[in-house]
Amino acid sequence: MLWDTFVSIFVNSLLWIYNLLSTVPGAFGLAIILFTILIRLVTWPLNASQLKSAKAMQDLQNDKDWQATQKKYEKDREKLAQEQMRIYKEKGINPFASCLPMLIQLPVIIALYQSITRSLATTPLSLLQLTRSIGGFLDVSSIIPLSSQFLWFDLSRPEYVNIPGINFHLPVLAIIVALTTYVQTKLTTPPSSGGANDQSAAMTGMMSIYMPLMLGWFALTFPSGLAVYFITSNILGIVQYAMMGKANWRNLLPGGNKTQIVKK
Amino acid sequence: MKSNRFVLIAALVLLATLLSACGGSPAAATWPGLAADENAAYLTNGAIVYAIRVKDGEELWRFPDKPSSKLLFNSNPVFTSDGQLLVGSSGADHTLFRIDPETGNENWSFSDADDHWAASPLVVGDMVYAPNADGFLYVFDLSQDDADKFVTKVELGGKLWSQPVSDGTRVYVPSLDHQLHAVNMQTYQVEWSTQLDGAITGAPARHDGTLYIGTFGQTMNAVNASDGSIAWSQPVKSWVWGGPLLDNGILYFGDLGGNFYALNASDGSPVFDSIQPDNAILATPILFNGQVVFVSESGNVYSLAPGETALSIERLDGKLYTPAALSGELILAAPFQSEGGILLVALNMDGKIAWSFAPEK
Repeated sequence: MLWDTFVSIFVNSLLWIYNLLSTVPGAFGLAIILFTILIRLVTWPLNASQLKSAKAMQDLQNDKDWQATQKKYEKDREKLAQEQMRIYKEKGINPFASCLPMLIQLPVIIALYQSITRSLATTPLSLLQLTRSIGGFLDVSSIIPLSSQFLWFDLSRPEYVNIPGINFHLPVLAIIVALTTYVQTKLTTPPSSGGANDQSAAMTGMMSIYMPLMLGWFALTFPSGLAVYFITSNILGIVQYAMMGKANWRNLLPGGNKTQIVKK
Repeated sequence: MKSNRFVLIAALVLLATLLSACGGSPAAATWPGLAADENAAYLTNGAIVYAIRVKDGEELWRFPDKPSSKLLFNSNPVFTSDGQLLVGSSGADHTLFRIDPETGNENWSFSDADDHWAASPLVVGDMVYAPNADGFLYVFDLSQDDADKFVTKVELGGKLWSQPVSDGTRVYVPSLDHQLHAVNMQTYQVEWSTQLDGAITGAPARHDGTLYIGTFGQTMNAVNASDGSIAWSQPVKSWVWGGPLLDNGILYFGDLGGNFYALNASDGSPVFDSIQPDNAILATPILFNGQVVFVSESGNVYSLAPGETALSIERLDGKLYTPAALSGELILAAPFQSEGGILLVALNMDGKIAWSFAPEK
């Protein structure tokens, strides 16, 4: 019930923007973009805090004292953990500070996702739920059905472009989602120590492969309105990191991460 | 390192599952559809079409043999003139199937529509008029060989979620985008399109050159079939989802606010003040033994005799959105989200439950 109310707030905000733009072609696509920008602005401090914490954790990986400690207690995991906590305390690092903002944002992301799919109302049940989500300040009779056409695609359906002659459906948005997710993950990867025990770098490397594949798969199978959200969110993420001066553009080049390490 | 990789993959799979479960299309993403003849009831629910023997509620067959996650059935099946069943999928696989009601075997299908089949097709003789959510009305001639059954598709626009009606000259097709269209059955030309004041999800009632249809604009409307002009428009208290039942010059229908109305078809004037039995009324009422039978979201089945107050004849486990169906002397009701997993209930003439059907897993 509480969750439903939370999602309803998102639905009404989205539809309120849609209503303002209703005379503009592709109004719902624009509403998703504007609403995503709004959400990104609201969660900007959380994202910034998450990035700073991740950077501090990564800097620690390159810290010579820490590397020496790691080597020293290579075979004593318990002692290594104690030393790690001591160093965290010394340097004022909160190991949960990098994931806490993400955890806080997760319900927002899921609610946004649900509000988009609920607004698009592709089944009778979802249309019924939508009619009940809409606040009294919006005119249901003029809002429903939402015009789901945006650019060349229908936001309520997965997007494909038919390639004439070869009878092939190219999922353009899914590819863009995967690419922008890959770029965002790569740009936000801080330089690694390159050591054999650099588990953090290895995890980030895996994230840069699995995340684009997963979000690309979402874009491929779910209504394309979700793909518009992913793309907008990714682009805004890249812009935010660039504005904070923390984007590692060299990471986009093959071996760029290691080149930077050598320079360091 | 391997354990880290495992944790990461597990976390991503969990997130994917969470998001899929949150808003995707699970097996029964919406309420069931129902049709019946004197021997069997045909119920669409999730990825399956069930045939249930009316005599005792036993399952006869289910279609397809192996459920596919790409199929989702929720519209009411319809019978063709030669007694076959037509039902379309509103899942990722947009196929319209013709099924043998004796065996449950598919004997024809059409998969070239661009979107899902939310509306039941209209059958007129050998011709089938099937509205699709892609905005086209698909026309089939079932007397032709399988490869030639598809005749044409007529572009109407909007999402077509309602079953059309016909007067033998035109097919009248409502649309979610507030339009009611008239398509000539000979030329397949759109003769007129009338803009109403809200989305239309119910099938129109038709009588004597007039169409009656409710909208999300909180009105019941009478539209002249000849030219699409609006004869009258009567405001109601909430959004009208289902189509009206027309009986003896009176329109019976409910709304999402739970109000039930009886209006004179001639001018839209109320026969009696609207009543509010309990909860939202989405389904079109049916006529049973001279009484109007309607169902509500709270699971109640009501009977309304002329000049009397509505009487709850049974409260079922689950929500009732699907129009009830008749088979002989039984009323069939299809609850949605029943806690006991019941998909179909048969009520006898006394309003008592004769049997209920919960499929074996």
